[in-house]
Amino acid sequence: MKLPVIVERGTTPYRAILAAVVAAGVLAALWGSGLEPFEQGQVTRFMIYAVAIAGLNVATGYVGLLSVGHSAFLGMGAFTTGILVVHQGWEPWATIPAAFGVCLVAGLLVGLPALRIKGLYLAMVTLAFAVAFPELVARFDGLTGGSSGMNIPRLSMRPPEWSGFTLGEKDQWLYWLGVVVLALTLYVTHCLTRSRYGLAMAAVRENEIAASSSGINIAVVKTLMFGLSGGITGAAGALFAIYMGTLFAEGSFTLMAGITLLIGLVIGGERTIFGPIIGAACVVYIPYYTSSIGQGQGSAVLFAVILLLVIFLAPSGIAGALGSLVNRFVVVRAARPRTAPPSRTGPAVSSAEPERGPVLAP
Amino acid sequence: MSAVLEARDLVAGYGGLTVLREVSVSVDPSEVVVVLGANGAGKSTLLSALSGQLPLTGGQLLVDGTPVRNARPDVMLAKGVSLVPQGRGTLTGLSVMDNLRLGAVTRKDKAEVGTDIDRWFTVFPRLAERRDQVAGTLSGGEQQMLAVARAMMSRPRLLLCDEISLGLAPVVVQELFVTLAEVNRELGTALLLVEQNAELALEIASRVYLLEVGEVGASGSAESFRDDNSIRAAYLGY
Repeated sequence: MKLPVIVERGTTPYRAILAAVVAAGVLAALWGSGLEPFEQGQVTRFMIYAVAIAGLNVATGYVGLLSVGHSAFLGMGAFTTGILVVHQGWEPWATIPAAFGVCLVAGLLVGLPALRIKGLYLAMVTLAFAVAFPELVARFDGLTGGSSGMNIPRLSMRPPEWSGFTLGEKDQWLYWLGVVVLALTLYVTHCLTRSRYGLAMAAVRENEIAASSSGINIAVVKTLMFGLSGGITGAAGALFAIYMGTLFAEGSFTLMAGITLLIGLVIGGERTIFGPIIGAACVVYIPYYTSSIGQGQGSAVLFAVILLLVIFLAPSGIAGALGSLVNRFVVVRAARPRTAPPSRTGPAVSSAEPERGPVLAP
Repeated sequence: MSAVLEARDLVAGYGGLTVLREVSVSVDPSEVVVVLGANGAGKSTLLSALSGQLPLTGGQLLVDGTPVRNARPDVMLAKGVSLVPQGRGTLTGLSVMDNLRLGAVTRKDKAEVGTDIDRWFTVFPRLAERRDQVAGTLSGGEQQMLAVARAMMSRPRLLLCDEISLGLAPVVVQELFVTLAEVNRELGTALLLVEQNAELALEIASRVYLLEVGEVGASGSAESFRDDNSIRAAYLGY
């Protein structure tokens, strides 16, 4: 058989591959639910990071808006959950959409400077955002607990009755919550990047003049996607709050956390669906194992060495490298365009006014 | 019938620098117009302004006789004015196919988009051979073909071409101009070409504007420019 085998989207083999991937995901989720509590906790943490990095992937990966400040969205989502649960008595799971909404709006606002500045300059703006966030939390200490931190009482973390989990099974409940949010995030980013918006995002990243002369409103794409990116990372923050139970802005949501997310994205592979998952696994598990080998500084150095190795050996990230390996055997590509019945003996290309979509060109 | 695109007393520039000083040009439906001029005359700036890429500091753009407020690139495209930017307006990291899909990104008539893609592959068979190739791996000429096809995917009524011949082999330029002339004849798409390659452009154009340091120095029919030796010597240098 001639390699690579070409699989077109929308055909039966493509659906089979998709079904196999989904089945593998379901099996992995079931396997994780049977783990020991500590190991399951690690998996939950990993899934939270995967969601956060998938959020970053939207802005930094797909649209090319470099952000080192996504820690602030993670924190903002976490504190939204904390405040709603502690002060308003919300059920923790119900705060996830709220955290998404709050961070979506914050992301739209932070995304505004992206209209005028790009590259490293934009990174500086997001850096300022990341540095300012813990200070802001300290400033509103009545609401957030300030520097002493915010404690979410264990009792208020009771899983809802309809879920069938008891208070003692809180970790199991959170695990499944993580599975659902992660699956939803991956599904949404998958659909988004395959749509006309995905094309618009790529165009804005690659060549703004070509993008705008194709009718894409660059301002809309950039701000919307930065907002969505912040929203997704914010949802991860909500999960993080439920997972940790105690929120310290100066411990969990510093610039270092933002850089960790960026590292995860780069190691995992920008602009891939699986990159955030692999990257999250790296930033959660590698430090964990290196710390069992070396002590303190030593483990950090070991982590750094592994990082450098990955960047040298797989410049497009682990998912990118695996992807090109797989592409030697199987290539998935867009189906040939569906062709309309040929028009009568008209010109080679019809010049009739086309029907236009409203959103990309308002 | 009013002009597809008319510019009245355009003033535009970059920061404090004014490049265009009250430039007025117009293109009628299905007409081929060429803008000639030396380096630094403001030819590319004119196209940037006409396509909405560069904000105006004075003057007015009119499409079909109606003033365009808020002339952004996406607005101009929706009104049927499409730009082939200077220096290959392609996305080098995306496939040929995706570049063409990008050109139609604002269109919702999916089946018709597929038909158009197939037809541009017929017009440029070399693009068809490389449909799944990344655009950055194409030759300069192929990229320019792709840039034209991408710009045509929105089915514009007026195509603005910014120095389409730049850096290409003469034989490739010849081919591109033949194709452009066919596009104009068969589809009725009006063309506004900004060119340094005056000889070729004059062959397919019906009218000419001569741009001199930000102002229209002369204008007239292409024939009169071709035949007038003094104009040729003074402005075109051949």
